[in-house]
Amino acid sequence: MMNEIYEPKIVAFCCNWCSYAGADLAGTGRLKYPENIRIIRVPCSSRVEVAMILRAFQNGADGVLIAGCHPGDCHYDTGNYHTRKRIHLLTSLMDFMGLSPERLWLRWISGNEADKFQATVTAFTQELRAMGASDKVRDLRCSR
Amino acid sequence: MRIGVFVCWCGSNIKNTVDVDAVTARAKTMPQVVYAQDVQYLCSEVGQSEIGQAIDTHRLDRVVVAACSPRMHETTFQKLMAAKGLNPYYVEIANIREHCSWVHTDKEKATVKAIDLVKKAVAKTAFAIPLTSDQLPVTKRALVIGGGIAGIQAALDIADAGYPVDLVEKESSIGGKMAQFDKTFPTLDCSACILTPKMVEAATHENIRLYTYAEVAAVSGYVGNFNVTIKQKATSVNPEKCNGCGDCVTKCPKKVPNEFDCGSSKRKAVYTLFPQAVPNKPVIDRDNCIYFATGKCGLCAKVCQTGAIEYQQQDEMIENQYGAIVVATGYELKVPDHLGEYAYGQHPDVITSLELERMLNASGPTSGKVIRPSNGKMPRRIVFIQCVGSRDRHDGNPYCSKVCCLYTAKHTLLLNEKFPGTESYVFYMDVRTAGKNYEEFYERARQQGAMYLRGQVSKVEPLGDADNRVLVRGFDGSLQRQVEIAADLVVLATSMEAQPNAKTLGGMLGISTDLNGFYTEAHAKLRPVETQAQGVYLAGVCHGPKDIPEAVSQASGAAVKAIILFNKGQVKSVPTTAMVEKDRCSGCMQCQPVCPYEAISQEMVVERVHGKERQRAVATVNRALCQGCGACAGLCRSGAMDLGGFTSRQLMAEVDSL
Amino acid sequence: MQSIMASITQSIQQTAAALLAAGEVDLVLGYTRGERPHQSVPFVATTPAAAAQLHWDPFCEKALAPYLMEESYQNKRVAVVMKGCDARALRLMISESRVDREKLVVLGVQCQGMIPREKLEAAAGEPLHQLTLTWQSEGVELTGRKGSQTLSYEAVLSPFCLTCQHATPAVTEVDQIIAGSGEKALVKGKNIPPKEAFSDIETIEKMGAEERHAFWMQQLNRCIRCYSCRNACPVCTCRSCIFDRENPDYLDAAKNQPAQHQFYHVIRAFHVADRCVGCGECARVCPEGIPLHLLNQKLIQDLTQHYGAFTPGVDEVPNPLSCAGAHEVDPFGKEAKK
Repeated sequence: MMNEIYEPKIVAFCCNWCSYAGADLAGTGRLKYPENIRIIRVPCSSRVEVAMILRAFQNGADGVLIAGCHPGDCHYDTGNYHTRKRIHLLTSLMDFMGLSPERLWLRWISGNEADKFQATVTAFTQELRAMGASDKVRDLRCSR
Repeated sequence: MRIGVFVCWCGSNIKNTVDVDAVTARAKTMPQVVYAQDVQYLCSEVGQSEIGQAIDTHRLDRVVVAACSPRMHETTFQKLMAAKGLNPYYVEIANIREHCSWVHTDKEKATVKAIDLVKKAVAKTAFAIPLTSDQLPVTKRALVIGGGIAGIQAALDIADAGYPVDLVEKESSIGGKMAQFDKTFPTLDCSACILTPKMVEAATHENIRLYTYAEVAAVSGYVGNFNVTIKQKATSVNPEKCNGCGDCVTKCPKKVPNEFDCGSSKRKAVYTLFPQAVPNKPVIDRDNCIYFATGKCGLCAKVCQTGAIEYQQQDEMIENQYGAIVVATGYELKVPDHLGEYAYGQHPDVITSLELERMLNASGPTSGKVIRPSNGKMPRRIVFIQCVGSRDRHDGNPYCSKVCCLYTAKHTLLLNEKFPGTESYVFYMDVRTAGKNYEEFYERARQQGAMYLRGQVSKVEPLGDADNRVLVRGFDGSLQRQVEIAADLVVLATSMEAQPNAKTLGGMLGISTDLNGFYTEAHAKLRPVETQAQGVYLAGVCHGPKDIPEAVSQASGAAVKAIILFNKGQVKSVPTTAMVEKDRCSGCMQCQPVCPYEAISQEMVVERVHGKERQRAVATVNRALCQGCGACAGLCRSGAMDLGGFTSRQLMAEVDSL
Repeated sequence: MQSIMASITQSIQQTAAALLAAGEVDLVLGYTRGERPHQSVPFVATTPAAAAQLHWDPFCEKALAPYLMEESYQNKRVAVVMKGCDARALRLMISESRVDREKLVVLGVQCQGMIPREKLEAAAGEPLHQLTLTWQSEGVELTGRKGSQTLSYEAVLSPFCLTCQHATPAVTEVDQIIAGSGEKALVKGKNIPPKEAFSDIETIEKMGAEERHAFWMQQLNRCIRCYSCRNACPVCTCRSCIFDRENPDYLDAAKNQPAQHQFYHVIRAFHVADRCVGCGECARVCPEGIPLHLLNQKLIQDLTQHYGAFTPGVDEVPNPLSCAGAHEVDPFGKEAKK
């Protein structure tokens, strides 16, 4: 039992135009990655509320990935700049409060970057496996 | 609520990796799900009618489709919903193909994930709200950015369909790269002879307005209603007064390298780009003009008989409305000076193909004679090197520039024909001749004596002989040995590259660039002309390397897309717009500056408090402007701002379901 | 120094009485002496006579701005006494349509800084009721049973006031500045950098991640979800707070769930991140003594460090979280790649 690999749960918010498309392209290209990720589709990464990220952690996510268009490529012009700023501050505050900010990733993945999507999910899963189950910001009433 | 879940096999695409029976069985136990079924192909007519029947039989009011990506078939299922009298946004798609069956191999784990994805979709659809779209008017005027052959063709087609077009070109004349070419393959047509009539037609067309020496400075708005700011650079020459006599050009004392001839000739500080320029009015290049540098000179103004020279002219910002935009900004050629092995810039007799093209041109720097830049004599032996900066993952671009094989064949033919006795050697990696009559053309070049050597050149260096020739060392793969050729002239087929400002313009237009800087099309196979931004279409090499006929066909395709939009006369507004719950809204307006479309404004609502009427400020969303990004909802503190189709409640339900 | 407190008090009383007598306002919102020793509490004067009870001293810390949104203040002409931080909050409230500036007469007070009572008591080493205070120019002279001592103002002032750059409201924001005669401020021309005043932040930053977590768990787990911090905050001005929603359940106030406290306090800090005027009310009113202001101050420091200085309620809107652009730092691009 001790040697069993811990399989983390990853909740991802992917913007429809870049990262969700990148994930689709990974599918079309049959690029393999771990099954741990569950993608929630949002129009733009800036749609994601801080509350949703915290809620994902409460609900047992071991990692939260937010993926958006590269800076400058936002379908809505400026959305990912807002995301960048908000998540930057949130990461810092989580760090300050000892809430494992390393479990929250924001990455820029374009619609062409199927390989980057694959690499990101793979790397995130591996890091989270090494970290083990998250015990931060966890609402114990939520069943895993 | 009565939710129906439909699990697609997608033939074997899903079924092989996901246990669809298990997913269906599990779906039946999910909250509010009253019906679940698996179907071989949900997108097929059979599949669609299965869903339709189930909606009727089981009185479903929400549908979850577990199938391919919503980016693939969401509209298909939304149309079905509408046909069944249900709101199109009452269907939710669980992406169990691209995000599951295609990326995983372990069937057990993939099935668990597929169940999760269905559960997530069921949770989301339970909180779905009905959404509608409005019909918005379309401004029936097109903007074409870039006045090369692709831009000209697109402008002409749209104009011929009866719609006004503005054509913006950054140089002082339209024509683009094609104007610099001497002949075109595979017909050896004179490039100018086929291009200039089109240029003139564009300039004189009643529906086309030219903005030369102008650039797009800002773009806002959306399909059907773009607001574009065009920066009209000061030409310093009043086009109304100028009669194009050219006296100013003759008298101008300042000479600078002529970009049109790749710097191999000189032009004046006041100049027309080339003799057949359209419009054929000179402009003053302020960076090089003596008057603008020192305040002295003013010769051009003195000799101008019509008083057309206007030094005081200012750059002008022009704002226009457009319904559609065609991007035809073309390309640049790589300057190969960083590729040291080719000695470009080190030996004068190493030139690029475009420099040779200019020499071959009768109105070029040498009036059609091919010479060695080092001594002005005719070269006898010429070495062509292919793929300079193309198909080169280390120091250049990974892609094939597509046209070099053919224009090099053309060059060997032209040289052979004009100057019999010249020897042409071509170093190549592969010769790619996919195009109508291209293989035949290449065959002809070989038959006419061009020597093709398959192999890469390792070094180009001065031979050091009395003639100052160039030694080309390479490997001939057919002979399997090193070869050395003493050449009089070396011609480099340099790579086509995206415009350096492509990303900036793309940012303004809301379209993305690929890893090489070329604009990305909406779908690689089926929507090669459209972009992610509705109403913005691509034409020519700005989308990727192309030859002239391909660029022209894409331009016509882009034109037709614009024409379709104008003929329709209306666009559907985005249904998934932001919405304000006025009761909760404090009217703090923190959301207002976040909106990239200026869709949020403040309005006063009147409410009754203790029997008295009171005014209160709240935010309000202009649904015609909102494009549904949700940045405002992501920020709103009180949760008053929400986004249709992606409400906080829906997204939280998704999070909670996992 | 004694004279500046007295002269401001006198000036407030006179101005208030005049406004009420002239019928220019229906009420004056200010401070009066509290029941406890060295305590000032909010006070509403509706008659010229009552104006005599208005009072000013370094214990008028309660932020008055939030009262202006209360129902009983609507459709009334109100004069309000405002310190620098209050006025900043008021300016935000005005720009956020929460109050109608036209119905207000703002009496901006030249604030000398506020003294938290518990800090004073701790520094004095004697219960407050045993102390008589005399405002000297070099510090506060305390006379109690143990004798007399003078404490420097730096030693007793609120850390928020030590870092305050806007003690007196801007002339443009108020109808009248009430400036006393005599010494200008308790801390003369000295502004202590926030890092020094809030040295706890650095202390926490230097802890290990688990230690930080344990520290905040220990702090936040005391939260009883009374929402005093929210209610007292002059920039927590939403018409309806998301934490008052009954549904959905993720916003509940389950007191036995650390994650819910973390959720609430992260969100609360975020909601005022770029709007905090640094009045310190959140921490002051917390019945459990949770140092909530550290979260706000941390965010302010981050914003300042990475996005440039912005003073809410002083600088022009948009606030930092309402605008973002290409020029800003990208911590998630190449740097994030390992």
